[in-house]
Amino acid sequence: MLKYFPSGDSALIVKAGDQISVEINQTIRRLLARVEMERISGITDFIPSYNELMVCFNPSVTDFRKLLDTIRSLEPTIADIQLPPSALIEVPVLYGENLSDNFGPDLEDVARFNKLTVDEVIQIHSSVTYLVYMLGFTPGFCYLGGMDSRIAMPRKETPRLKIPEGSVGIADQQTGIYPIESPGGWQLIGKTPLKLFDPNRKPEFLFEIGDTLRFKPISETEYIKLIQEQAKQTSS
Amino acid sequence: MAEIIIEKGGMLTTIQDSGRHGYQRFGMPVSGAMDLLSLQIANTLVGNPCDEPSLVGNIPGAAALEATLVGPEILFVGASEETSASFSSPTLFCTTIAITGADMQPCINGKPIQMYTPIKVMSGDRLTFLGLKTGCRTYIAFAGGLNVPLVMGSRSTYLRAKIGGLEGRALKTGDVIPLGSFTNLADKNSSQKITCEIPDYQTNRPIRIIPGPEIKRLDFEGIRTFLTTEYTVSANSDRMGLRLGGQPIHIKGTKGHDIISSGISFGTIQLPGNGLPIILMADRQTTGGYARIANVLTDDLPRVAQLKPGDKINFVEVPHIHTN
Repeated sequence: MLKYFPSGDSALIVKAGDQISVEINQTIRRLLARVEMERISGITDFIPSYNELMVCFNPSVTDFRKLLDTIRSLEPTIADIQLPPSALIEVPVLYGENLSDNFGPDLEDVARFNKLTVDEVIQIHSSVTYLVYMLGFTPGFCYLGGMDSRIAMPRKETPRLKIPEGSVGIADQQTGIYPIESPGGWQLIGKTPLKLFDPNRKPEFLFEIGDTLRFKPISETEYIKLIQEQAKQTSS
Repeated sequence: MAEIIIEKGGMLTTIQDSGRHGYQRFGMPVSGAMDLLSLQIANTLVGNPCDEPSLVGNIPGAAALEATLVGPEILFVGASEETSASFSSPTLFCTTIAITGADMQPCINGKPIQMYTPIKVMSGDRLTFLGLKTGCRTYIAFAGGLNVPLVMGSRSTYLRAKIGGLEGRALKTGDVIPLGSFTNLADKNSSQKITCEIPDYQTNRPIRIIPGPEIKRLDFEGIRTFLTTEYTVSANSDRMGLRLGGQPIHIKGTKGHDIISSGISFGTIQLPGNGLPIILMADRQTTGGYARIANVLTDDLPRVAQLKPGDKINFVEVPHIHTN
């Protein structure tokens, strides 16, 4: 059962449920695919999230009522949309304290908090396939589902002012990667050399809604090699 | 070739167009001018095409400068293509500019100039501002636009990701920005003054809102507070959003402020745990986890964009189609 709300006079919200679930998120992805197929004039952007699709439009071209009627008329065909199989993307991570940098300054705290060893935290974190429910917060930031609650830990009481790009962290029941340098309160356990967002690359973003990912522990040597390879690719 | 040299950056001067559309599903904010109406008027006055954002073949409009509270100082250098072709004038015609939005008392070579009018500037001319009289953000458009690279379909500066504009940052002393080539419509019509309706930023009319998807989380008392309080724009406000100070709005339940992270649009009013509303603006995040209690009407967003810290704001609800 879909519900519709206006978000002012320049966006329409379609809501597919009130909780976070794979099924509801798939409905959102189907809806997005279906509405995109129509190429409706006046639509300027889409923001899919866990349980909603926001359709942004130019109010001088179309309006809420017209879009509402169009999207409602598509409702019966949404279930028929075949979603493409989810891509599985491997994200190499250098966990913990390494090199001159401290890439995962909170890894030991996460282990201690959960009465585990550092190696167990790494093992648990890297043995799950995570689903990209949505992107938001900063360019390329993935909201991931599927983290094992054995490695959960609340956010830091005082957020850090600067978290470097590529940092991998844990906040409560969530794990995530910082695509750009930003302030934040997540417990940092490692860092990936992959660029989740690069405005000068095509495609600019490594992930999209519906993708899946796995973390793969790597050594310092591999980390440096991957950084060098990436630098070569962008310069060529 | 014509270019501008930034002699002083002002408080926060960035290059903006109508924004980066089509990437919000990846968490990419739209950015663009805070006051899109002023940007559009300024571009029109100098003969620049205006864009209509669309997912199919979006053509970005010309990029202009958005100056905040304290204006920049700009030196015009070089000649427009038109001048180079004719060699007719002793002083080189550089470009045509138009200034809209906040009144910062613009001057060319120390002499006050009109806003909302195309102004011809010569090579060696200097644009300065005497100081803010009204509003918060001034727009300076140049015939041909500012010729910086397109990043993901837009020239807008997004400071947090350091992209767009000039190296993704605010302008500073010594920056040189080339002007784009143009067919100077405004100059051809220079004898006839182009007139336009100047938006009234001084009015005390309340800002019109449509209730948001989480409006039902407010009880009667909460709605009354929201619609009767005169709020003050806080000093923490920026291009992401205007934070308001005043009477906190009561929400039902202890977890009532939290929602599952969901989309937000230009002008969405969020209610975080402290009960003080935030109006989300040009550099807003694409999604947020606070209750969305209302949205500002598109036509009233320019007035919101022209509010500066300390200014007052109040809201009035306007009818809209309710569906569920």
